[in-house]
Amino acid sequence: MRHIRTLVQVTLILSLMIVPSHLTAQEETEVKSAVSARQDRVRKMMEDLEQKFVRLAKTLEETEPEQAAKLIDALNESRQALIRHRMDKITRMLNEEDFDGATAEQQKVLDDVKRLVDILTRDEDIDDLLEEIKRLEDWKKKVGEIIEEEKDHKRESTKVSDKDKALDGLDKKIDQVKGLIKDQEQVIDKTGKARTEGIQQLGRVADNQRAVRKATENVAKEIGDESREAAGDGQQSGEQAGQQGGQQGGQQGGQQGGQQGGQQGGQQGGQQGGQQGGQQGGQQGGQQGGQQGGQQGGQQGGQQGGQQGGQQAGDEPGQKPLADAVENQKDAEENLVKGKGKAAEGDEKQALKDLKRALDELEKERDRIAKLPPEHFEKMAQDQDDTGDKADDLAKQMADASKSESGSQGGQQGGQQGGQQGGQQGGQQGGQQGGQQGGQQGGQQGGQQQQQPGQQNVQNAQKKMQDASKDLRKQDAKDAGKDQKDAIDELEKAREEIEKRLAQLREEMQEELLAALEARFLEMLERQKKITLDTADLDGIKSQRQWRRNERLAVMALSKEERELAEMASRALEIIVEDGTTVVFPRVVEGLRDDLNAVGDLIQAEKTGGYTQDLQHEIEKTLEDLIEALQKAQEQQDQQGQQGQQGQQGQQQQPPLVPESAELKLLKAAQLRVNRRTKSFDKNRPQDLDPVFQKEINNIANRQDEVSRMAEDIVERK
Amino acid sequence: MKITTTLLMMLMCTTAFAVDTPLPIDNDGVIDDFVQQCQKNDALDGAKRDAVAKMIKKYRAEDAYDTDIITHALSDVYPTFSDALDALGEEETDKAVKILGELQKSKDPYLAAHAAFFQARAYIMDDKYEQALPLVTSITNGKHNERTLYRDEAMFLEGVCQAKTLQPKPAMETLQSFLRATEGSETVSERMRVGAMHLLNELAVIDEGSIIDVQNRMEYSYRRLALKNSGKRTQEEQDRIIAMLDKLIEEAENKEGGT
Repeated sequence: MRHIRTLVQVTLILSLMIVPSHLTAQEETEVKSAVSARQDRVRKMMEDLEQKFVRLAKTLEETEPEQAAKLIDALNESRQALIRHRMDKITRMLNEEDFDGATAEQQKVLDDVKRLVDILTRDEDIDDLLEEIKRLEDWKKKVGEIIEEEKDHKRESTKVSDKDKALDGLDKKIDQVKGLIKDQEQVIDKTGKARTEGIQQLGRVADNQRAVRKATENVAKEIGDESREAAGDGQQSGEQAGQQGGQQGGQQGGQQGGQQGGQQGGQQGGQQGGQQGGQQGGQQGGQQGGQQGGQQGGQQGGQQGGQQGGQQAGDEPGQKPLADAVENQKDAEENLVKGKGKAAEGDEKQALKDLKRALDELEKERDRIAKLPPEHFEKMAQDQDDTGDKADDLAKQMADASKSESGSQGGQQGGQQGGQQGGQQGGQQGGQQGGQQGGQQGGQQGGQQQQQPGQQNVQNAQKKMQDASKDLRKQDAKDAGKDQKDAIDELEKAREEIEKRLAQLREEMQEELLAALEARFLEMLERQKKITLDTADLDGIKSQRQWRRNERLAVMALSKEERELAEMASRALEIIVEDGTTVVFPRVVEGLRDDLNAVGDLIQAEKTGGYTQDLQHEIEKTLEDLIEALQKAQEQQDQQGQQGQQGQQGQQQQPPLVPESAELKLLKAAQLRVNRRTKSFDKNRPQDLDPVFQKEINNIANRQDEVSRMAEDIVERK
Repeated sequence: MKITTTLLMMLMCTTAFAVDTPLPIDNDGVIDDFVQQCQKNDALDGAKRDAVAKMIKKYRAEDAYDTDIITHALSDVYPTFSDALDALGEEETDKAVKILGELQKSKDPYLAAHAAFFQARAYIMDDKYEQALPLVTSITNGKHNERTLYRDEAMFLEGVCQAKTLQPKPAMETLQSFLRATEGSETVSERMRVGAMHLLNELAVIDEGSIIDVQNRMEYSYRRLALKNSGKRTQEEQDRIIAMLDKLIEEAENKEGGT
């Protein structure tokens, strides 16, 4: 990827150097020799660049075939556009003082070079965005883990600071769970009796099981509430707290982010020379950032809170086994009402085991709290230190990322600005100087670090953890608890900041995504069509005579290529799943990947007959459907951009990657595939289904189930 | 839209509805007739006839209402019927279906009616609603109508089977009839009535041709294929799905600005 970036920068500078000049006739005559010399220099650079394309493509062929293919594409494009030849022509025109013709030709060449840049960079932006998203997701996960650990410490501090209250609470829970065990045993007994009396009796036991399940849920909820209270979450459920916190944080963060974005946008705009544009850009950036940040932060905060609520369900002794018991009791109820006594008994017995496990955990916890040794505070302090170290490590990772990010951005911006300035000033010397200056400026800018989202909060949390550790060493669990609460609050804020940035990145990614995916699927379709033709040719030969060695090798190459296409589909799937706004699209691409792998296997087994070729045609059809959907989505995006609807949609939620009609078309295409296979199966089915036919109809049923789930996803989204 | 969830609720309602309530007159008549039939039944020996009479007498003395009373009596006098119920209890539905199918040919109309009811239950356990539907209909509105105490339950199951076989209008009518017939009834579990109301609500939101309707039909097609039915009925439904999707696509395109 680094090599291609270098080529992109060279190509960009080239494009800047051939910017058409707008000079007066007298000036034109004066600079004639200088300009034609410059044009000649550009042509030589282009020639050099093409040679570099070839060399680099060869180097990358083995290790990075996709990148190599991209370079070859660009080179072919360059050759087709006859860029070098046309540059020669411009030089001649300049020497002949045909400035109008030279200017027009320069403009055309410039457009072609821009297209080269587009080919080289079409996946790069998405990759950069994905990289940042992955990094932020990783940090978010780490922050979440540290929060959970810190909550454990806080709960322990609360217990230790009021030991009698903790013991009373545990005694109460132990009595309750003992009662549940007795009730569950009675349900098992009744089920056993009902089974001997027939299925109509089993339904009656479901009522008893339901009552025990409700009581189990209540005990589990009480433990959860007390646990949250001890962790400093108050009486709110995790979900409620998450939703509220997420919305508030999201709105605040969104406004802040919007203001910052606005200021930055304004500054950048100003530097580029257009003060007015900069101000407008700044204001728009601020408004959009605020609105989007607020909504997305709120939504994600809510989800996060819900997840946290769920995660907390397993933190306290007895909580996890009680949750397991509830699940088994539910299964038992379902089986009882269905008249499945045997299965119900199994679930009931499993629920009983879970309840006994809960009792065991609670009794052990009571013993532990009752017999806490004096050195326990030191142990708590050490545990706190460990979590503090994790926070410290994370803060360092964030700081390191800030350093490398600032350096890279500064270098790139500086290089481009320098090149542009140099190009405009004219002359090779100016360009070189500009490039050098830009590089230096970039390096300097790299020295100035920009903080990562949540970085400051993580640092603050780490300091609070250090304070908590000191308190614990002074055997002051109460003060430690306060510091731990502050640390948790800081970490929650860090998580909100990260989520806010993630939401922004996802939105940016969507803009790039459609074009990149379309390009990928177009390339896949082109390659698939060739493979399909080659497969049919080879199969034709096989029907006449045995394959020769070179033909067998060709078959192996086709199989390999199908697998490469499957890899491309996997990569596309990864990006679409990351986007997360479409429901049908990922399932279709997933099916496409599986079909490509299946065809790869078939060809490898030298099965090149009708069935394989049919599958290949299905693959082509799926690719065409996907491309059509993406083109439609881009058209719609353009229309919305013109009508300014994007902003309106953004106020509600991130719009789906492809419009509803495109998703419905994909759904229809998927259903049509099921219909064709059903008809074909029914036409050829024997009287008695042998294992092969049974497998086939199961496959068709599974495909139908998948399509039904796609539709269900659409229904649920509405 | 998940009819499966509702189905579960409905099945919950179909099993546990025996409560201690006064015996309604019509059901009392059914039990009287059952006792009389048993006394006249040449296939039963004297001891078995006496056993039935004794069981019903004891049951009446307890003054408790139990929709399963005839089932208990039939189990006692017909070991094969008892075997079928055991097979059902062990979830051996194939075995149960086979035995119950044979028992429906019995000259004892009560045995035939109860065999039909439990065979329907076995089919429903296997998601075979098409096969279950005529059996429950024979109890609600057919030859077995007056030969069992399971008529309310059968009406409920009839509504379920109609919903699962893409007959929303008849399903709604059946379920509404069921709710009317059992309004204020102390012999029908409230859970069964709640289940019926839930299903009615779900059916009411399925507008013909909507994406919910499409998804419902896809589920139907899936269920048929899972049961190895790839024939005309399945294919017709699949074609209907495509026609519906075409219309939905057209509507969506118009909404998006005709692009």
